[in-house]
Amino acid sequence: MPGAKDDNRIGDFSLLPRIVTRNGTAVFVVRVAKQLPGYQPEALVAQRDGVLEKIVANGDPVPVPDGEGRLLNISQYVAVDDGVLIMGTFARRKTAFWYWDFSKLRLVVAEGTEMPVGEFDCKIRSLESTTMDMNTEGLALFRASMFGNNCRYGGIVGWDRQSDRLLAIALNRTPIQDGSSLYFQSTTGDARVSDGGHIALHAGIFDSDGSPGAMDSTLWQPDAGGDSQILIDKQAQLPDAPELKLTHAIHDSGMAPSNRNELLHFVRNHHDRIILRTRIDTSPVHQVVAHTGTTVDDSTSARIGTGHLNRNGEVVFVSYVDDGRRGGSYQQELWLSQRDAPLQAIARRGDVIVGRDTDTIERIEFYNQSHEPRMFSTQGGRMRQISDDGAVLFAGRLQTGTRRPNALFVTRF
Amino acid sequence: MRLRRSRRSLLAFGLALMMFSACGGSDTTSPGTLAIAVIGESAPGLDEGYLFEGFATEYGMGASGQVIFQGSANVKNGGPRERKTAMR
Repeated sequence: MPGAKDDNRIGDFSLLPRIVTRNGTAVFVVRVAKQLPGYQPEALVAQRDGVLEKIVANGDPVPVPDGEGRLLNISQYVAVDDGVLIMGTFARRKTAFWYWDFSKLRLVVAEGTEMPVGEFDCKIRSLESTTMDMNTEGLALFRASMFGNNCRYGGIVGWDRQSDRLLAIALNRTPIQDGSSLYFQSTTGDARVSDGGHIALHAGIFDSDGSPGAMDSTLWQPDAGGDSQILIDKQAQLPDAPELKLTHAIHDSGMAPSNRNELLHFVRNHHDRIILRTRIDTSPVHQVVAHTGTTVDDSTSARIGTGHLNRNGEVVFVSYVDDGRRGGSYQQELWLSQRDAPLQAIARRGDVIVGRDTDTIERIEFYNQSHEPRMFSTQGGRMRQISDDGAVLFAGRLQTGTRRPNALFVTRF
Repeated sequence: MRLRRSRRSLLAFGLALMMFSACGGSDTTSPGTLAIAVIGESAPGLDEGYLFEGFATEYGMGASGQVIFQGSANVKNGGPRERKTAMR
């Protein structure tokens, strides 16, 4: 195993992501045979050009604010061609982010790191993994709360790799349009960044008189730290579907900015999910991609699930349709939305497998740990299951003779 | 459509992490669905005699079409697993 120690062996499954970057570098966690007392035997590794390299393992020395500590565990990571941003903990369960540039690991930020905000001397109180993202230009985003004398900030913090500076992207009380301001609570604060540097985020809005306004809005920043523009809140009207009254946005990775001033995101109409394609111009223009009741061929969607966006603005998403069996069960189909083209189904039960003329898709199973749909994208540094050249990866079951084994499929559209 | 299977797979204790490339070749533009890994079947990236027996639930695709997934593989006759660390 070139580049890795002989006593590190690959193995075990993990719920952490398996990421492939644009140039084909794979980043993933492995279980290692080398056991340090008190540490889970796990390491983060990268495979690039056929060479496997260890990035960091639990128990390894890592840079910390006061010198050197030991990594307790790896909790999340994102990866692009130039490097990997790693979230983990070190002594006394303090959380930090480190950046690995394929040669060395450097500390980005840790709980306790000083971060001046305006005239206030703030320090990072806590860091969260849910918002973590990084684009190919080296702009990273994460959620943080702060403390300090008169410092009561929290929200989305950025890190610019080139300047090695922390950036206030969107914090509590940041003024936005018409005298209103942002606020973040536990149900908001998701943020994503495109490779072009566009940022989409969820936040609440305080009205100009200081009273709570829209608790849940989706906002857009054309550049990191620039003015935030409200794209949508529950007062928004959808011109092509005026009957759909919005109730709120969906969190937990439910949005993906493209690099063309465009956002794909989920919103809700009570319990139903809607996928919107929002084009950002002088004012946002919303187009409904699909919602409960949308029909393709002879299939009607009973629910919309996880979506996948690529650089061309193509979106593949899960549509749950009645499978015709008793009991009201549903099967998943994959539907494709392209700009200015009608929806089409690209994978469904019964489709014949290329090269296996008697075998068909028996079931599509997009696994999702969360109850909310996720929106994957080829932008940024998170795991994705779609390519820019028109392929999507999914799991399911194959019908082959009388067998129905689990399988992994790639559909090209 | 054709998948070019890279010769990059990792085996240890019958566990495999494999990368495939879903790009390249003139026949890759035609639409359709390919089964790239099936339980109970072999695959070009696996060692001789090994069959897939399980897949992890998190798997990824690169923007250029590479696929990464982690699975377990066992020998066809159900005999003892080889303890092996390999990258090809």
